Amino acid sequence: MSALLRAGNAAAPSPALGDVVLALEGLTKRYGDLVAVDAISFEVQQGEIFGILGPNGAGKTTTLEMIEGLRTPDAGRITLLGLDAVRQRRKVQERIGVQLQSQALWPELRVDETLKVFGALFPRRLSVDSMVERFALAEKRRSLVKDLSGGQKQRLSVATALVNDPEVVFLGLLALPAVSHVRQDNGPHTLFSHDAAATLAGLMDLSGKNGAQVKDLHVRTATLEDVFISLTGRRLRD
Amino acid sequence: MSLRTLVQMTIAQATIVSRNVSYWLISIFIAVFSMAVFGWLFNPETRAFDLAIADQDRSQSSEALVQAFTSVENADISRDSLQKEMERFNDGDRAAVLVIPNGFADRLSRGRAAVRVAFDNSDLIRAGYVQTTVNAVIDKYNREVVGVRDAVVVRSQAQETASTRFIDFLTPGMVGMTIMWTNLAVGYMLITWREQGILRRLGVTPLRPGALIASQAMSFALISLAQAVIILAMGRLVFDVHINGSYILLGVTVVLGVMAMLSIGYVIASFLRTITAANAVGNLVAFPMMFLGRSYFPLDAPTALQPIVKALPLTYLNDALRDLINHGNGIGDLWLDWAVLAAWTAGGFLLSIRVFRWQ
Ligand SMILES: Nc1ncnc2c1ncn2[C@@H]1O[C@H](COP(=O)(O)OP(=O)(O)OP(=O)(O)O)[C@@H](O)[C@H]1O
Ligand SMILES: [Mg+2]
Repeated sequence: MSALLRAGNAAAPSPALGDVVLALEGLTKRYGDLVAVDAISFEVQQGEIFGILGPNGAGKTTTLEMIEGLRTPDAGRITLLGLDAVRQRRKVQERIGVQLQSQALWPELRVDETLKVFGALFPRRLSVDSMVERFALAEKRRSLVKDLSGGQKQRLSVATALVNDPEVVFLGLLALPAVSHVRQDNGPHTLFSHDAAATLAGLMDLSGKNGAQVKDLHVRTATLEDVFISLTGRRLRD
Repeated sequence: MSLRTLVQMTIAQATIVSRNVSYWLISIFIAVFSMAVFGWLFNPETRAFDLAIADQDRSQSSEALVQAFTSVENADISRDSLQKEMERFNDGDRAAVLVIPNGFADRLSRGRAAVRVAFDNSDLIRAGYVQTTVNAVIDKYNREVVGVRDAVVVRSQAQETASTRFIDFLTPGMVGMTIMWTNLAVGYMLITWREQGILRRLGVTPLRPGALIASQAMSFALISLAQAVIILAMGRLVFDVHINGSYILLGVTVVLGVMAMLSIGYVIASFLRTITAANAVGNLVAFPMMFLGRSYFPLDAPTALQPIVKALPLTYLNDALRDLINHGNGIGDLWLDWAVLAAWTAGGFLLSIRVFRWQ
């Protein structure tokens, strides 16, 4: 029982707005006897900020990791950017950006070296110059990752997830300010998160922008209480 | 897998390893330390040995040469007939027998004479410094008594290993040992990356495990080639250890050694989950291999262990390195060593590609 929270940006300029970017059909994952994800289906459209919320152990991370190509589903289909995310995993991975829960950076590399090597993993990449500029790391570009502050590491971690100029961005646990960097450039990313704080930050950033309004807020397959629990870790009645 | 990916991943990983100074320096340090210990500590000045001199010439010149040896502090000289001294030598009671043959003075007066020396090769360390001492004394005799360089030359009689000082034997073994330590540690590195979430992070990019492994192999080969250059340069400059074989074959041997050791490192990383476990297993593999693989001593392990010795990749790496560095052998003597290293590489990589997990 997960809650699916979504918001569309009414003023987004992209002509492709409304296209289905991600579709899950009967996605299922079992760990032994435990059904971690039980035949879940939904669609996400271009330009949406999509949050998947729910109590601990609901299967949010498992769902995301199947979409990202880290886990293989036991049943169901994932169509991402028109491709089968299981069978065409690498083709999909070329066009998505993933920020995992850990920062996952090499402490021994410099900022520019980090962006360069991550960029080299993709057929298409943004320049190191533009990335350090956009993530306010220009002054630190020759610093070793291990010498960065916590917030700077966080920004670099998000930058590595966007270095391939992805069409869909997946956010894990994330410092709130980094979300606005994600959506800074022209085309609206589709933003997908299983973290309540990141989803809210995305929504707030979106509604704060000129002309942009939260068009739509769906809560599906769950009560508000589930959402509340996931946001605060407490029950309404407490 | 694009070329750009391979090149940039190789550069990044070589950078990471080279910035982890302790990672590549410790094994070099052990190698250099060992060379210093065996090259200097056990040198002729510090350990006494029994030297028999059979003077068959009994001339003034030969007596002067005997005197030159008597003044060497750490040599215990005994003088008896050649036959008796050879008997003692064969019993292992003499480190070397020096024979000054009949007609020595005659030939010396005509400009060039030879002495024969039989070395006991059963103790390579001793054989090394005995030979160094004999050569030094003869050199001094030539300079100070005769006044002509190379007037007296030494004909060594022990075959095969006669020219191998211990440091000559040790240096290739130190190269092999360093390659082993550095490259086995790739398992430790991979597990650290897995724990830090870096492997998961790479797993959500289009990077293929094969490309990761190929780039890792290239960066470790670069690091190990640099280590080999440092050790061999130190051997050459400080201890006069000559590289008799081809540099190209030497490079190929180093790279094959890197691959074989990396493949073992990958197997360790594939089956173990924690850094502590990888460390423990790594040491459990590395320490016995270091000694059984003949890095330090031409050790003949107990017969029960012989099958292990014969299976270890380090045995073959060290053998190939000695063939090249000490004996200047060609491919004819190397192919078996190379084949065994390649077999380890293929087996290890196939196994780890099958069980490799990003997380
Ligand atoms: N590798 C695994 N092996 C066995 N069970 C697992 C594994 N990974 C997750 N699970 C189980 O699957 C269920 C779903 O886990 P998941 O991590 O997807 O939940 P989640 O919704 O992300 O929770 P949280 O809010 O705590 O992050 C849990 O009951 C968890 O214990
Ligand atoms: Mg989770």
